[in-house]
Formats: sequence, C-alpha cells, structure tokens
Amino acid sequence: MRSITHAICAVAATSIFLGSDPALLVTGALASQLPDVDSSKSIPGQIFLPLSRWIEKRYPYRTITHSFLATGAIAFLLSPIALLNVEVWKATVLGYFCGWFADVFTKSGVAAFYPLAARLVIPQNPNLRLSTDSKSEYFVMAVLVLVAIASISINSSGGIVRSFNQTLGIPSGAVEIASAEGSQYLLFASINGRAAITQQPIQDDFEIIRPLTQNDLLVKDREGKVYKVGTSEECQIIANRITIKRDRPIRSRVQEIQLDDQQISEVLPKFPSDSNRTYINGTLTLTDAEDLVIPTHSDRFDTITGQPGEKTTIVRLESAGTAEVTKLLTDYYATGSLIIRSQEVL
Amino acid sequence: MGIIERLQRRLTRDEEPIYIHSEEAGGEDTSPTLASYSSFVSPTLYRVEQKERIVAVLLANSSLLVVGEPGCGKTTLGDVVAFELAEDGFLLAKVNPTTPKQLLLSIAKQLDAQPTEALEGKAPTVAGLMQGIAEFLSENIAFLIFDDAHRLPSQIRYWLEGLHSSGQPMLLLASHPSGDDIFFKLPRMELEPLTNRQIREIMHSSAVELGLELSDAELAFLQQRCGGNPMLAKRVIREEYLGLDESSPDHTQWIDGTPFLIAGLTIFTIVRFLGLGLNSPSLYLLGGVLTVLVGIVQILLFSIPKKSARLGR
Repeated sequence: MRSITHAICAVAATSIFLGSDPALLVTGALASQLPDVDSSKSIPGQIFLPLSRWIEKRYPYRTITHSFLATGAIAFLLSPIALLNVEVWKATVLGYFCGWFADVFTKSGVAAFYPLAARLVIPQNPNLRLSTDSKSEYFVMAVLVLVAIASISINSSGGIVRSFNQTLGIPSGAVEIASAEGSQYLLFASINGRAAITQQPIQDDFEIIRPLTQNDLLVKDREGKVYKVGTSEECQIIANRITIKRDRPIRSRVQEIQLDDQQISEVLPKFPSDSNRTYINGTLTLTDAEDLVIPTHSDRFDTITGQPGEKTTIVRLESAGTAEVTKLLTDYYATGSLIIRSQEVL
Repeated sequence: MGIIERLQRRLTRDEEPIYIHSEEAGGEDTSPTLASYSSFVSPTLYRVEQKERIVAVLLANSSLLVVGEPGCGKTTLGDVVAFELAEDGFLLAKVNPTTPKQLLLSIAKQLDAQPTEALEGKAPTVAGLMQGIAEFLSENIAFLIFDDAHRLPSQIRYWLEGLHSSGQPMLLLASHPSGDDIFFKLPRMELEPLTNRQIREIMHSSAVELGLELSDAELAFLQQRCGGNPMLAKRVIREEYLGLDESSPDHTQWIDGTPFLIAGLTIFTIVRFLGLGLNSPSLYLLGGVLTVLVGIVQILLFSIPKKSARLGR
C-alpha cells in the first residue's frame, strides 16, 4: 500500500485510541512509515539505505519488519521514551503497527508471525485483496480519511459518549452530561417534550439548576420558575429529547449553615452571595409554626415543601432561592442544617 | 569399466547445497544399474540431511513415505537418492505412475528381471509381471522408488502392500496421499518449506540462467509469492522474465486473519456490559449499537466467496 495510506490509517487509529492531540497524530503517521524500511525503493528505505539494502538482500519484502516481533522490538527499544512521555510512546507503537497491518489486506500479505514464514492475509480470497497500484486503494484511502475526520471531530466535541448522547438527545444521557459538567459550566437544556398536566407541547431552552435523579433534571425558565424535567412520573415536564448546551464557565461555591433554634432572617444575611444563582438545600425543623402555610403549585416544582406536625413543622428545601426562603420563613425559629450553593459566572 | 568422475563439494553446514556431477569418460560400462545414471547431472540439492536419512533408512531395509506439497523438491530428492544408491552399487528401479502394465514393465527392465512368460515368448500379463518381480525381489536386494506415488493406480498399491509385508524396502514420494492402505503403513517424513536464503539462491540462479538482471529489491518483492517452494521460486522468475502480470500467489503458507479481525471487533461489544455495570444508560445504548455494527460486519465477512481451490479468478 502507498505510504500515504499507511499514514492515514495511523492517524485514524491514533485518534480513536489515544485522542486527537496533533503531536500524537503526527508521531503515529511518522511511525507508520518505519516498517517500509525493508525496501530500498520506499522513502524510509531511501533514508536508511544501508539498513534497507541489508534487509532486502536476505529477506522477502514485508517479512521481518512487518511482524508482531518487530512491533515488540520497537516497543522495547523505544521504552526510554515511555519514561518521558507515555502517550508519545504509545502513539509510536500504534503507528508502527498500523504501518504494517494495513498491508495484511494486500495480495501477498505479511509474515506477521515472524519467525513463522506463513503470511497473514485478510480476507482469505485473494481476489478480494488489494494488489500493488490498484485503483481500489483510493477507495480504501477515502474511507480511512472519513474515519479519521469523524474520529477527530468526535474527540473535539467531548468524546464518543457525549456526542452519542447529544445526537440522540436521550434524557438519561443529558443527565449524565449535566452531572459531569454542571459544576464547571453554566448549562442550558434544550427540551423537547410536553407539560405533564396540560399535555401542551414544549420546545424551549431552560437553565439547568442541577440533576435530581438519573433521569430527571431540575431546571428553571427565563422567569425563574422551577420545573422538574425528565421521564419519571412526578415531572412537570415530560421530556422526549434533551440536548445540553454549554454557556459560560462558572465557579461554584458551597457553604454549610447550622441552625440551632435561630431565626433564619438572622442567619442568612451572614452568608451573602452576589449571584442570583444561589440555591439552598436542606431540612429544617420549625417550632411554633402552626400558622405557616406553604404554597404548593401543580404546574411547577415546589422548592419548599412542608410537613406540619403536632408541635413542630418539618420544612424541606430543594434548590430554593434566597428570596423565597426569606419571604416565607423569616420569622420562624428553626433547627437544622442547610447547604447553600452559589454559582458565579466568570 | 567407464571412468566416472565425480565432483562433490560438501560444505560444513547441512543446508549447503551439494553439487553432484557425473561424467562417463570413454570405455564400456558393464554395470547395468549405472547405465541410466551415467549422464546424470543433478540440480543443487538443499535437503541434504533428508537425503542422508532416506538413504540410511533404505539401507536399513526399511521403507519410507516422503510427503511434501507440489513443487517442494520431492522429485529432485528422489533422483539424488537413486543416484547415490546406484553409485554404491545397489540394484534399484525408479518409476513414475503410468498404467499398471507400463509401470511393471519399467520396473522389470530396470531390475533386469525377465518375467517367465517373456522367456517363453508370450506377451507378459500384469499378474505375471507382478509375480515375477515379486519373486525376483525376494531373492535379490533391490530398492523401489515411486515418484508421484499419490497417482499410483490401486492395483499397484495393493501389490506394494504385499511387497511391504514381505519386507521389501521402498521409497514413496507423494504430494497429498490419501490416508489409506500403503500410505498409512509406511513411516512418513514430511518435507518443510525451504528457508528464505535457499529460496533466494534458487531465484538468483534461475535469473542468471535466463539472463535476467534482477536487483535485490526486485528479488525481495518476487520472493513474497514463493512461500518456501522451490518450484514457485523458479516459476516466479520465469513469469518476471516473460513480463507477466502479478498473479495470485500459489503457495500454501497462509494464515487467514479474518477470524482474528472479527474477534478483535467483537471486543467492542464489551462496552455494553460496561454500561450495565457502571449503570450508564448511554454506554449501554452505545454498546448495543456497536454490537449491531459488529454483527453486520460479521455477516458481510462471512458472505464473501471463499478462496477457490482452482487457479485463477
């Protein structure tokens, strides 16, 4: 096969297995030329002329340098490079392997298991293999170029799993992405679904607050209304497809407050945050809160829920905003712990 | 007695070739056995160790079956063994498969064993020849060498079984013999392909013979198609000399890598199980898609036509 085909094959393989770092791709492409040193007519053979003359006097073409043994020898001899940079060493070995493995698809095959003289070929029928200077090699080259491009672009958009999720818009996949990137970036979810109660179709962008379960996200719309989106029953929006968009990078800050029969209005102001993206989670036990009425909504997510008891009321906060909490629970004496998360857009 | 000059060059290592030339320089040759070999010029023999062993086996009154792929040098080996035994003064007959009668007549002639019917003036019959030769062999020491033994008619093979049970030493050279009767009973030697160096030498001398100048690079390129087979080594040079296009290689030293390829691709289906274990639905889905793709590739690879046992497209 032509040298360029070897190089493209190595680039495709390196990009698939080792990532798309250009340095690695170039290393792989260069290493793929090395096995052809066994012929003085090839470019590497011309560069290392004494070596190529010595080899071709004794061995048939594609025998000793096109083998697993040679690959192992290269791996061993270049192992000092591994001490400096493991990825470059891996790219070299992988590139060398691709350099000769591509020749398995030619009519004469390669002596892959040298010192066994038998020649490895794929497929067995010689009419389906490439002969030298065959036109079909251009077709193979084109396919390899496509594979290389696809692989590099997938790597650039975050890897195969992320690209797969984004393409299909699977809700659980979107939750995975949100879990992975939520603390570093401001994320928006482009949701395609319907409202659970009214069955109205919904196609809109929402800002993601945080993932709730493996299948559900907590989001808010432009007006600040909070919804639970996903595929489970208690969701206000049932989603068919969710695609995640990255906005600006953020910095997250988490603080924990302990209350011991204190008024919330006293404690909260001590933990100011300059961002309007502050979410409070936690459970509080309130005393003397018989008059407390916690509003519930059927069309959106209740960030504050309550359980009235005989002497105490238990209040649960899930990503509640500071303003809400202050408005509702200001004068009550509470015991419990709260976690305050704030996101600051950079 | 004719003067037989023999030039023999034996080098230190076993794989080095032996050149045997024999010339008759005037005079009458009274030895009938050497008559057919008096102008014998053998090609270079690379299988020296095997030749020594065959001669030793025959001299020990034992029989041998030598098996090798077509073109691997069985006939050459047989010729050299015959020459050496004849030189040492032994009686022997070397035949190729033809009709039973022709074959037996040839043996009889070489052994100088006249069947009784011929003596009486009648035309010899197959049965008569068989019996006559068998009788002769039971009274005299002689060796039988059969080249292309896989083509021997069954009549001859049964006769050979009879000879073998009465202790007649014989050498059979065969390509792909069936696994029954005489082939099964004889001790077997299997011939390995020649080494790269030896093939290169054969190619080089072939090129010199044809007056063709080939560089090392060109020889290395052509040698890919030889597979350790000396006949192919010569044929490939001749094809180059005649300017023929590259044809599908005819040697038998192949390893089919398609199962390895499929096995390697199937490893990707492990992603599905990883997805199950890591509780990642997207990995599970991705693994499922990969499994289907690998299944498609497998179906396609299994549907391609197999290599034909016949030559050509």
